[in-house]
Amino acid sequence: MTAPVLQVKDLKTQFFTDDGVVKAVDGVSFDLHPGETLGIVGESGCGKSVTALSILRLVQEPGRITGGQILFKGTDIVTMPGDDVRDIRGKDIAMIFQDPLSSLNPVLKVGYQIEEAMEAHTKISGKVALSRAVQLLKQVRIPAAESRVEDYPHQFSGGMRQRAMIAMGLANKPSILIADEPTTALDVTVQAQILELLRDLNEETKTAIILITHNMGVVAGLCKRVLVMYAGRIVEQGPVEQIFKDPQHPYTWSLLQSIPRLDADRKDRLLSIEGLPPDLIKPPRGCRFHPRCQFRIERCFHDDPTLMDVGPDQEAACWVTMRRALARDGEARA
Amino acid sequence: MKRVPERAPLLRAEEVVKHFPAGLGASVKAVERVNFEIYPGETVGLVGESGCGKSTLGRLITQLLPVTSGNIFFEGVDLTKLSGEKLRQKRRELQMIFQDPYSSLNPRMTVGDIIAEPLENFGLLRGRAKDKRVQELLRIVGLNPYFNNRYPHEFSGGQRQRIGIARAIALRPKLIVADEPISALDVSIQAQIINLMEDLQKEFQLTYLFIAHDLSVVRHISDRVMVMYLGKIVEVADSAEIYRNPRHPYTKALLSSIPIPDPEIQSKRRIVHLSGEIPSPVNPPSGCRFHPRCPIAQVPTPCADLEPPLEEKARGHRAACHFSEKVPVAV
Amino acid sequence: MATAPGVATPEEYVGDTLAREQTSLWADAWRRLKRNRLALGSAVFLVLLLVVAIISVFWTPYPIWRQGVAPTYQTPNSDFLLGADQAGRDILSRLMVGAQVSLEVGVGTQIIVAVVGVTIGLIAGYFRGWLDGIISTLINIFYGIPDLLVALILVLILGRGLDKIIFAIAVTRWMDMARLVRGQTFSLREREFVEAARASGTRPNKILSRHILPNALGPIIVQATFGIPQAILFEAFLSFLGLGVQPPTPSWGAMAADGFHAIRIAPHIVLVPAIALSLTLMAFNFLGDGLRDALDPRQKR
Ligand SMILES: Nc1ncnc2c1ncn2[C@@H]1O[C@H](COP(=O)(O)OP(=O)(O)OP(=O)(O)O)[C@@H](O)[C@H]1O
Ligand SMILES: Nc1ncnc2c1ncn2[C@@H]1O[C@H](COP(=O)(O)OP(=O)(O)O)[C@@H](O)[C@H]1O
Ligand code: SF4
Ligand code: SF4
Ligand SMILES: [Mg+2]
Ligand SMILES: [Mg+2]
Repeated sequence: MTAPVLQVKDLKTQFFTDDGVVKAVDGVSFDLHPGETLGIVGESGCGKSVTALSILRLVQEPGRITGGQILFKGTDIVTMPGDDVRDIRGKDIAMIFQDPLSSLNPVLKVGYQIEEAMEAHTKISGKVALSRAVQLLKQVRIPAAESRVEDYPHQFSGGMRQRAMIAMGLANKPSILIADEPTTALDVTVQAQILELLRDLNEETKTAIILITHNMGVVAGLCKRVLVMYAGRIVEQGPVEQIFKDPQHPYTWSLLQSIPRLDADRKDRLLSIEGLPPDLIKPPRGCRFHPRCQFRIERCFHDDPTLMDVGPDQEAACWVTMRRALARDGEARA
Repeated sequence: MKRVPERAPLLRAEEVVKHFPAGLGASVKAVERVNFEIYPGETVGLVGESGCGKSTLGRLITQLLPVTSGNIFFEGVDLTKLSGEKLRQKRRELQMIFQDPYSSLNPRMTVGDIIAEPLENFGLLRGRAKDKRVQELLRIVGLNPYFNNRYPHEFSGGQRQRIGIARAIALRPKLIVADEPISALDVSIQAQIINLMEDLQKEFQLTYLFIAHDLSVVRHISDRVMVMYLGKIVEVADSAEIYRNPRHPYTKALLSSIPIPDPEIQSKRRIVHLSGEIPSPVNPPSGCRFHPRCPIAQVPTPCADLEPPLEEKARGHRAACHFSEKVPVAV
Repeated sequence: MATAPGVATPEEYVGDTLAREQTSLWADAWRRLKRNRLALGSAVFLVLLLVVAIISVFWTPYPIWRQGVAPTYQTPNSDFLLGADQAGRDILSRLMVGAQVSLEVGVGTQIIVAVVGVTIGLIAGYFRGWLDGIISTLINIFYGIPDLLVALILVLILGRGLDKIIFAIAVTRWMDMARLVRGQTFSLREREFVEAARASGTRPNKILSRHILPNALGPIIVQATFGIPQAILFEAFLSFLGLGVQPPTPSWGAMAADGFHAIRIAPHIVLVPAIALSLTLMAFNFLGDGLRDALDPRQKR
């Protein structure tokens, strides 16, 4: 396997608020390989967006990266001078957000904004920039791209705006594209198109994609590998087929059991995860999931598990793991 | 299937229309000549893309918005003809659960006062008895009864939605319109609310109109499903039937777009592509409103000049498409 | 303690943990206000001013109307801390009573403005339609007529009693409040909790009093706080023109006007009331800013 383009090591990002220190990201480590599609899932507030923003050093006050390393092709983004980070942003690592309307400038033409994104990093002539903008819009499958470059963002529909954002993200042929909930604000039919587009672009351009979402189905459709986050930590990671078929962390397992599926017949009850997501100012002692975990044992209350191998290339942070939990339940029932 | 044909519907909408003025004499045709029934005890799902008129239809049924034309019969009484005190009295039987658990609770009122308000409005209970009832309602929706003097901002989204549900069932209504009650909630909380709504339905014989854009949820909770497109209902059928055997190209496209949380299945599925996006409801397309995006449209005739009626295609299965028989193979 | 999947649930029950500690919205605002030194200092100053004004009802160093208690144009000394005016009256005593007049004018007009403006604003914003049309037209007409003209005519017709001055100023000042409350009501009535109240059969009067008014209270308080110094200034201006509160009741504006002819020989006669006025106006404005940031943290300037 090739060397990873991005290595996140024990990343810690905290927000110093009036109510206390929010430990939004608390020791996250992962590798991203060239051309890989990596999904980050978890419910809202578990630290997905802050992880992404930390990678580009875009965390806002009162937030700060307080520990760890983010190695992009070997150099640490965390300690890099500000100018160098700005160079990386948009050129090597591009990011697209949930709400495409608020990330586009309403008074500038879409084409102009794409050209701007290119000219921020490389000197090119206006003509070249324009033809490249048209080409990019074609690449993200916007019909009649030649005339659409002249449009303003409000003349685009929601799905087209997200496509334009993706085009901007791809303008400098980045090695990594981070997409934070890129389809959450869109209708399902449009979501399906955007996901298909991302999949095709990944194959065509070999850009690695980090896809952040709370929707398990979206990950299933696009990603090869997945990280499951809970309360600022990665609780499970591995190849997508394995995680979906054989999840080992009770949170992953419960999440998959609790969502109604289109292809399943009507069941009487959904499995529900009781309780609330934890407060990241005072996360629970021991395993952070223990107040909501139906498989916990004595040890879970005071001992904090770390990621352990639970299968080929698959890791989970759990003392019990589903394999044992389900076997135990089987015994109990027998 | 809970529906018994002889049974009288709880609610019947006839040719309901809602247009909003949009300046310069134009209007947003949010709901256009819609007809349907809801039978006692069933859950009807209402799905469709953003802006297709689901919430508007929900608000018309609960009479939070006046209709432009058409009639809505609730237990035989035409709600559109009621106003003032008579309409207020009817509200006892028709309640609503809102999408946004944050903006649907008054931040300046305690949770107890919020839940007690419907009871007070109809002078049902006073003093101690009212307090007891409020605490009982909190318990029923799974909240600690002693939180009645707390304020909404102290609760999480899921807990707030429970408060909204307690308010909606306080008057023991017959019909509850739930407008995307879980789409603003954390994934791990959604199942809690769905289960609660199902439990309450059994306990209090409630009838639901469940509005959602997530078809997987609708499939789970509904007995029947109505699919809406650009202000019109394009297909109605039993929940299992509509998923197995969609008779409208739009329904089929919608179904194929829902991602299934299973990488093996998901990688093999075929998505039905719709060209373009939902047109503006100010100037809806002629004929079949879906024709500019429909993969099997025959234009101009009949799709662009003849509006297909919502007709029975199989028992209990209605669709509005000139070529519904081709949908299973051609789309 | 293992449980079969899908059967049992952990003892921790959703309803037993609150998402956040209990702090009321007002307590939250108070916490933010406390951090604002300028606003807090202003509030202390205004409380002191209020105490002085109340004391002046019962006691002043010298009778305010008696002339010649001091030499005319006396500069400040140990007997007359702020000196004396052209008629030999003690300025400190008059300043104290003047504070009472200013606060009465400021607070009095804002009470009238709040009652009238809030009522009108709520009605226009909630019922909309033709009622709103009439009220909006009325507001615009009042904006169109110069304030001073309205006030002068009213004072000429009604006379110069303190209550009449307050009334006259309120007549020129209610529109801002009405417009603000109308706008607030307009947006609040679209909020889902108001819709929810309607859906559960709440009558309009209760929707206004329980749902809309309490949620508009923050901006109303802020608006009233900014309105007080405007009214005080307006009264001072009227007094300066000789149309304020009937002499010998001293008002800061009248005191400044009285000393104006002697500004070269005895500048303190003008300066003392002018400084008192400026400080008071400033204090109210700082407090208003602080309240706005505290009560309405999203809506910064
Ligand atoms: N008060 C209003 N004034 C003008 N147009 C309106 C108003 N309310 C809704 N509309 C329009 O009516 C149409 C239907 O809106 P509605 O809110 O019912 O959609 P929806 O199906 O609930 O969408 P979503 O899934 O986004 O909630 C939209 O085009 C919307 O812009
Ligand atoms: N600007 C901020 N100030 C304080 N806390 C923040 C801020 N931004 C994010 N957080 C907190 O950080 C945690 C993780 O947030 P985020 O990464 O946005 O979650 P998500 O997984 O939904 O993307 C949450 O507890 C959130 O409240
Ligand atoms: S460590 Fe214990 S509490 Fe945590 S997930 Fe595993 S079983 Fe549950
Ligand atoms: S009527 Fe025509 S355009 Fe409409 S859905 Fe059927 S085939 Fe498509
Ligand atoms: Mg996020
Ligand atoms: Mg809606």
